[in-house]
Amino acid sequence: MSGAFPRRTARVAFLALVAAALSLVLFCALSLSPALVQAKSRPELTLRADSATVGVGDQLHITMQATTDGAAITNAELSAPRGFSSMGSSSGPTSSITIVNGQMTQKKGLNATWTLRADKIGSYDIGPVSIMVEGEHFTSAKVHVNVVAAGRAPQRQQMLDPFGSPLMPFDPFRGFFDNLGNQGRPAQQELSFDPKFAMDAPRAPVAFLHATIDKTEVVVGEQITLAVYLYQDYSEREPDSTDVHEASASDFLKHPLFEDDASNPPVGNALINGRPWMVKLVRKSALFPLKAGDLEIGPMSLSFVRMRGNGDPHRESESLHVRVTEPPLGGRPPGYTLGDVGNFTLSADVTPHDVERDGAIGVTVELAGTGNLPSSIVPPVRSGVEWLPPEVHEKIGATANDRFGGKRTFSFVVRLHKEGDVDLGSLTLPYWSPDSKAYGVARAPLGVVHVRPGATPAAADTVFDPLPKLPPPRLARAGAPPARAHLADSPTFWLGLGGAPLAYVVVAGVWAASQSVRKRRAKRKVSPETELRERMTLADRACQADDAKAAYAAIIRALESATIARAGVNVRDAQASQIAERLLGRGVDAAVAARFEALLRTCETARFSPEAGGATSVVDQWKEAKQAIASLVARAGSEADDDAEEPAGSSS
Amino acid sequence: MKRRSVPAWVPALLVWVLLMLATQGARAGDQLSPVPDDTSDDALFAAATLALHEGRPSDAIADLEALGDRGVIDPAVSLDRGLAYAERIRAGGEQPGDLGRAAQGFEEARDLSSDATLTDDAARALALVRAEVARRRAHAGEPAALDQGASLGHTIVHLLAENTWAVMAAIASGLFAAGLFVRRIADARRARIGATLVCSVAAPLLVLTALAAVVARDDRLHLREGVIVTAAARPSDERGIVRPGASTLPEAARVQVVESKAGWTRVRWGSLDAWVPAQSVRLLARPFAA
Repeated sequence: MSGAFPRRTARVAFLALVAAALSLVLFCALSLSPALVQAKSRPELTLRADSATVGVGDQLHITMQATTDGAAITNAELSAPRGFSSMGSSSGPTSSITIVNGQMTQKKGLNATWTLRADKIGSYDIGPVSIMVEGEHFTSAKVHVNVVAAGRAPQRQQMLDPFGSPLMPFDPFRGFFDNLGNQGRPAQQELSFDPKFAMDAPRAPVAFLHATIDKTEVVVGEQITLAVYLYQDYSEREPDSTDVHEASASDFLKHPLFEDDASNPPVGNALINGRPWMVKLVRKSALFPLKAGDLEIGPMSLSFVRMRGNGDPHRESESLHVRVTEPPLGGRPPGYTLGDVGNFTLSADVTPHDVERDGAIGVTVELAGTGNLPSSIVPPVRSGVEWLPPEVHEKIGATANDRFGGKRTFSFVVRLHKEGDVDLGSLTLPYWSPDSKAYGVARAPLGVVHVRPGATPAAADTVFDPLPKLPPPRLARAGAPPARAHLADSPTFWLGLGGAPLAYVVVAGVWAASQSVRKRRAKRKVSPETELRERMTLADRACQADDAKAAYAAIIRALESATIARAGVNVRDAQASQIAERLLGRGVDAAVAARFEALLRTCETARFSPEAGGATSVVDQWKEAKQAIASLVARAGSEADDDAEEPAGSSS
Repeated sequence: MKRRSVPAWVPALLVWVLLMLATQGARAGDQLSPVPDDTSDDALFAAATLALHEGRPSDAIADLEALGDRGVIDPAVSLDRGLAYAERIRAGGEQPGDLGRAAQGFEEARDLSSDATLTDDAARALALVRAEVARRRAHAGEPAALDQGASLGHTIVHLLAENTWAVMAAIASGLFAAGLFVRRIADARRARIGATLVCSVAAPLLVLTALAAVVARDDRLHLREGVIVTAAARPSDERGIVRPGASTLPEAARVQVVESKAGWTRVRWGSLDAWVPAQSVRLLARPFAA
């Protein structure tokens, strides 16, 4: 017994443990299951076509809407089935916030639209569309579409209700107006906010205008869709507007995309800085740029009346800028006219095909498509075929996806003046397709008309020819004119042109300058001061030599030159007693004059008896003579200056 | 040695691949526009001349205008373009501005060509077009004069080629310089008198010919001319307001283009200096633009 109890106890304990573990697992599973279910919940995914039956050449829009409880949706893909061509696609995220008694729940979504063109008659299943939600792959159901012959498809209904649009899956006013009557403020609001209307901050209080364009870079003639929205604060009373000025777009051709400008339909809600705003579409226009360049779309403006508060009632939308270029030159087909942008088709009906000479036939040409439909068509001119001005009917306006287009019918009356089978040729309209980024040519062959002989014989050459005897056309190209060198483009030419006369001026100038220098040099060579310097140099050399006689003679010549150079007086021919007198006469200081006279006398005497002084005495005499020369200066204003040339000339 | 035979499925696979490629190519071709395959300049010109020959002037115009869009400058292309517009008028399919466009083609061919025959043909055709414009204006009671003529100075300058003026200026410069040197160096009286005479003739000749060369060069580099290609271009002021009482610029008149701004071109025609819509004037290609 004692052994059984612990065994049973252990078994019970083991079972209890197992039960506890199972309970824990069950508890965890039950408590976490909503989160798991929520995280991995399947998104709501719908796919629909805008028409169940389309004609060949018609466009078909396939719209996918997907929503989740907050998980991001990515990679929406649809492969076009055979028999359809893809014309493009667009997608955008959606977001909705539900406020129920102060509790907010958020949903995220993705809307995508594919535009297909039916190419072949048949019955097709389109889809499924695949999406990714947090790495998991989901697919939608398929939609079934029948393609019938062109023009046999039933008329499609225009979707006038903006809230019925596939792009607007959430009704912003669901449950909103229903409760307005209760207390003026809804007890339960459910608003969905479209991220495309979101802004960083409101542009003005109460209400404001906001303008957008779908493209900022286009080619000449390509459609830009301009939308002007009125944002209105939910908590404010709706103000009335007046003094409305339309957005100016002088460089564009402008067509409205909805008829009633006064309706201002609400198109969604925006959450700006935590406040809900109602968004109304005020204007939507198709703009076609008329020229290349950076073009401006001016603001739309209006004023509010009976607006609460004293704020500025004037409201203005933004000015927008568009960069417009020309379609590429590469691949441009002959006959392309700038501005013909879109997707066009031409068809023609010629009746009858058998007519008498000078009779008339009717040619009805239908130009259809989207884009800026040309207002005229140039008929294929042939000799003997007279095209009268056409009668034009048109039915153009907004088409699907805010495209402008429609059809224009030209009814020509054509008179045929030549007998036989007349080939009318074909009508062509080259255009640039912004969707495929390529040129296309819409063609409509007109065929051959049999022209029978008329009742009266053909008048021979009675028609007036305004341009007779024109020269024959050239059958071969002449080639680009050769690039010629132009002398006047060369700076060397202009230098040479002025250089020849200038060379004369330079040579003559140099010649005159050299002559002047030469004269100045000669003049400088005979100047007294130059002579004095030379004499002093010679005296220096003579004093260093042994010949005292010659040294004294050199000192005498230096002293005499000094009197000429410094005092302007020549003392060479003067008696010994007259030297001082002459120097005094030139305004030399008396002491200096006396010194000069003494020196000259001494040197003259020593010159003829050099033994009296010896070589040492000569040097002393020369030193004294140099001091005397240095001190010899004529007084200013003396007549020495007037006669300075005379002694110099005589000395030379 | 035994030769290995190719399995039977290989040719079948090849045929299938080729068929698929052909099908895909055909589908791609359906989606894209049927733009002609051979769109070289020569092919376009050949197509244009063929269209002219077969009496399809509109097709010829499309091809020749496409050549112009590609920047092809060729006197034969310009002449044929003028002829294509003229033929469209003759065939009764005249579009507004065809006479002006024809005149523009002939003017351009005349300016561009150095071939005397082509120049004569262009001048003759131009005279025919101008005569037709004058006839129509006379019928409408408007002045029939289309040629206002250039100023005397420009007429003189354009009597000779730019390089001729330049060479003459160079010769005058050399003579002037030589005369100056001889006058200075020569000792003989006759030589000095002769040199003085040469200088007095060469100096003004140098100034005039150099001036003519400068003006001719400036015209070559900066003068832009065009032809009026609307039935009647109304002269306007700078604000685009039509001048009251001013006579219209006739179609096919050759005008000087002074300046351009958005949608408007300022032109000079004789003594008239006015703004006209830009699409009223078609510029002439310049033969030797730098």
